[in-house]
Amino acid sequence: MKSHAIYKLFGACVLAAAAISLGGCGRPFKMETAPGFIELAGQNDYAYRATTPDGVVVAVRVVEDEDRADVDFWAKSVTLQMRDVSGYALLATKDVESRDGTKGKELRFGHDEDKKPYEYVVQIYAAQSRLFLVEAGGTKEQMDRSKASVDWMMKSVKVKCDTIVSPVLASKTCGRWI
Amino acid sequence: MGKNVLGTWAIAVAALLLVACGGAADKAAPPQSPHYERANVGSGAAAPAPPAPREEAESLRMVAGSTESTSPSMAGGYPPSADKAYRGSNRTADNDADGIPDKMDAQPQSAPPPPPPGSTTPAQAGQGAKKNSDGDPRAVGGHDSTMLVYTASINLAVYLVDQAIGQVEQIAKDNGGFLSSRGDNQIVIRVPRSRFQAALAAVEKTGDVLHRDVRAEDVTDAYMDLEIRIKNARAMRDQLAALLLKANVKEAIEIERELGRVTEELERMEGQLKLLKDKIAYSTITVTYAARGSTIEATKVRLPFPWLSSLGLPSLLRLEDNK
Repeated sequence: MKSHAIYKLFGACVLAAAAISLGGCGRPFKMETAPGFIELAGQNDYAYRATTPDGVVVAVRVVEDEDRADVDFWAKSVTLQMRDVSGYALLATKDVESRDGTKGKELRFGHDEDKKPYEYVVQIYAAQSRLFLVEAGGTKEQMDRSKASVDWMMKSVKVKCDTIVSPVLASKTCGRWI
Repeated sequence: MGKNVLGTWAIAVAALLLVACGGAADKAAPPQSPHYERANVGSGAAAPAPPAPREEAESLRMVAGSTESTSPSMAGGYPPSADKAYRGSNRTADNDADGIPDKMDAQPQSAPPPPPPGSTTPAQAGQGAKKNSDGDPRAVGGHDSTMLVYTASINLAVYLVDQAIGQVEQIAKDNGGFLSSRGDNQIVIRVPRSRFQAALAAVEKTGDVLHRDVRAEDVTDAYMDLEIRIKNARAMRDQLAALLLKANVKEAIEIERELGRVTEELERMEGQLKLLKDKIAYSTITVTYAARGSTIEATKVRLPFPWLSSLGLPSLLRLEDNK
């Protein structure tokens, strides 16, 4: 009788843990929206996109089931695409770390659109058998003006799930059951 | 006695055969034309020591001589006196009196200009093996680089284009060159050959270099050929003018017609030579601000990940809200 109650209690705990785990994974990442930005709803190619009134955009793109290569490979691929194919100038590259400690790469590009200089920043993280691309862009002038907010948002990214269950279980379940 | 006679005959025949074979071998050897020798200068470590500059110039002159003798235009029967006069003349002396600023004649005596790095022409590729560790072809058997036309095409990323184009124009001026053309996304500058490398390095610092193509075209043959044809045409013209003074009316009409043809041809060739001298004296640098998409497509190295091609500002900034 006593053991039956213990089993019930254990089952309830497991269910609660699973619920918490799943509840924290509406998206397979976390992103804070800075004041001055609003998050846009129903974005097709982006899992997250936010903008300022004057058009500085921060977005997150998730490429599912992509664990064939490491961040360096994808960083080189993106560089090749942006420079050689799209004609963007590579202004800087640096190693970055998401808020949860995942190592990534940041590529900063410049490009003229309608004869106006624009900046485009992309951070690449590989986690949970996915590729996370955190992008930001706008005219150079606007990006300079919003630099603090953009940097803050990009540093707020978490690409691992917050969960009380084990990291292994989280990595297998996070974002998959929604 | 008979044996002695036979032996003597055998020795004589053997001696004759040897002499004949030696002569035949001389005749059968490939003609060591000056051009051939010049091609050998620096074609590897086994090549003979490079000729001194004077010898090089001499060999070039001899190349020209061989061109002259085989050129169809010369088979028309130019006066031997003119031909002889040319052969005896100093090629580098500027006695043409054609009004063309003849800088090039003086240039062979000056130090050769610094060569552009990364030349990709087949001719240069052949010399690549001979370059020293610095990639400096000047070290290659004293190769006469005065007849090289340097051109460079650079693709820069499309960023701050207006500003960058202004900088490139300024680089041309700073290096004693000039603007050749300027468009929305392309600028062409000409710089003195001696400043080519410095100007190229400065241009590359103005942006993110996506692609560069540097070429050095050897125009020695064309240059020499033109010079010879011009000198012969001048001699022909002078001779026709002299004949004209002695000719009767009927002959004069024919001579004048021929004189007109020769003069026209001479002017055309002088124009070509002037253009060639200009190309040699001033290197051309073309800077284009554009992606190399078509080239990448052609070489089939585009990666097969659809999300890659959707990266960038257009899709990021094309906002939608489907609440």
